[in-house]
Amino acid sequence: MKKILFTIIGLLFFFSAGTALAASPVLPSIYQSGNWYLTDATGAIVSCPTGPPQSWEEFYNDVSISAPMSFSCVAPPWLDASNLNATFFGNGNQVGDRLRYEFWTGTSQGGTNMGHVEIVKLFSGYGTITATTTTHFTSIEISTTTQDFRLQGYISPNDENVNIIFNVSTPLYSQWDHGSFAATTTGFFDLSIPYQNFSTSTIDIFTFTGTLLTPSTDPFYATVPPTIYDTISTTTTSSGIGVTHIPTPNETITAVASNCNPFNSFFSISGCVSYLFFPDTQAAANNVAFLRDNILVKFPLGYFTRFYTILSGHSTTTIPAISYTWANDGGPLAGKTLAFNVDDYMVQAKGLTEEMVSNTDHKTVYDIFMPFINLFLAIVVFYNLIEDIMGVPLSGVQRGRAEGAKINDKGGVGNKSYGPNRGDFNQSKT
Amino acid sequence: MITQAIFNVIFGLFKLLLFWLPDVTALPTFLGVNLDTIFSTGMGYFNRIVYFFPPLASILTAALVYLGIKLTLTLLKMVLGHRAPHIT
Repeated sequence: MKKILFTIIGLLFFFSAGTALAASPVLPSIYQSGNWYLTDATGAIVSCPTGPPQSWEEFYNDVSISAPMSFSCVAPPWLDASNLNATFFGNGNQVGDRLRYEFWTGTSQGGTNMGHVEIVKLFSGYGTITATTTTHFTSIEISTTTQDFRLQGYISPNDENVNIIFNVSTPLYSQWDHGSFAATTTGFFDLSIPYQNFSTSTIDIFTFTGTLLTPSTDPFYATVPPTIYDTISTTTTSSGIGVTHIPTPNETITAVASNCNPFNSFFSISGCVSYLFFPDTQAAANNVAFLRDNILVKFPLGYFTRFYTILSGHSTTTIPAISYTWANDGGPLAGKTLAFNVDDYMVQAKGLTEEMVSNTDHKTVYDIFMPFINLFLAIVVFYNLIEDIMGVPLSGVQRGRAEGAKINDKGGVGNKSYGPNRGDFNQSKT
Repeated sequence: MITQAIFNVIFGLFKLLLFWLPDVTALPTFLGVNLDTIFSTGMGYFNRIVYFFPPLASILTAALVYLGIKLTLTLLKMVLGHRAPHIT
C-alpha cells in the first residue's frame, strides 16, 4: 500500500514538475487574495460555453470594462465590435463556487500570445437575487434581519455623470421606494432600501422592479428595457412578515405564507406543523453564524477555530523567488546573478493545462481527470480505513500467519494492530 | 419555531456563560515564533501551488479525512478505555 501511495505521489510531483517546466503563452493576469484576475486582454471569442450564459449580470459584477469587448455568443452590455480592448479586474471570486468558463483567443495588449483565457465567474447566490434582464440594476438583496432590500448595479463609462433616478415598486405598492443619485464615478452602486409597510398580513407574491427613469446614454442600455424583475415570495405571520428562504438567482419561491392562519388562503396544517418544528434555511444559517461569531471564537476554543480558518482559507501567497549572486572573486561567474522564480514558471505553465481542452465540452485536463483522481484517493482512504478498523490487512493475512514469530506485544504483526482475531495470533504464538 | 426557540435559548446560554472569555483572533506566538503568521503563510504557499496543480488539494483532503477518523477512534479509545470496541 505504501508503495502505491509513494508511486502516486511521485507521479503527481512528476506531472507537476512537467507542468511547471512547460512553456506556454502568458496570460495577462494576476492572482491575488485567492482570486484570479485578468488584467489586460484583447481578442474575440471563438467557442461558446455549453448552454446559455447563466447570468451576465453576475459576470458583469466582477468585470470592470474600460472599453467594450466583442463577444460572439451572446451580446454582453459592452458589445462593441469596433473596439476589442478590455480591462478586467475581479471582485470577490471564491474558490469552490460555481464556475463558468469562457474561451477566448487573441492577442494581449502586451503582444503576448493569448491562446486561451479562462474567465472564471462564480455565483455566490446567497442573499442575492439576480436580475434576469441586463440593466443597470443588476440585483436586489433581501435581508431577513433588517427587512431591507439592496439595489445593486453598475454604472458604465458611458453613463458617467448621469443623474440616475430609480423607482422600486411592487404590485401592492406602486412606488415602494424611489430616489436619485448622481453617477459621478464608474463602478458599482449599492443602495439600501428599507421596506415600508412590510408588516402587513396581506399575502402577495411580490415582484420587485427597479426602473432607470433617466434614459441611458449607453447604446446597449438604450435598447434594453431598463427594468429589473424577479419574483420572490414572502410569508407572513401574526408577528410580522418573515422570509422563509433566501432566493438563489432567478429562483421563484412558492409562497407558503400564513400556514397557521385558518382564515388565510395559504392555511395548511402540515405546513404549519413543519414550520413549528423545522427551522427554515435562513434561521439555521443564522444559528450557525451566531455559533461561529460568538461562541467558537472564545478562548480556548477560538484557537482551534482560528486554526481551522487558516486551513480552510483560500488566500494565496506568491512563492518567493530565489536568486544568488556570485562574489567578485575573479571567477567566470563573478558578479553574475542566478534568479529562479518558481512562481513565474508555474504561472506560465498553467496556461498549458488550460489550453488543452476537449473539442466538445471545452473541458480542461483537470476537468477530465480530477474525478478519477478523487475517486482513486477515496478508494485508497477507504481501503486503509477498512484495514485499520478490521484489524486485518486485506492483502496480508496469510503473510501475517506465516510470520507469527514477529507478532508484537499488541497481538499484531509489525506495526499493524490486529483486532478481533488478535487472540488467535497470540495463541498460535504460544 | 419551537426548534428554533430551543436553539436560541441554548446558544444564548452559551453566549451568557462565555461572555467573559476573550475572543481569539490569532494563534499565539510561541518562543518568539508567530504561529499565526507561519500557518497563514504556509497555507498561502500551499494554496498557490494547489492553484497550479489541483490534485494536491485532493491529496491533502484525503489525508485529513484519514487522520480525522483515526483521531476520532483514538479519542474514543482514550475516553472509553477498556470498554472501547476492538476496532479502536
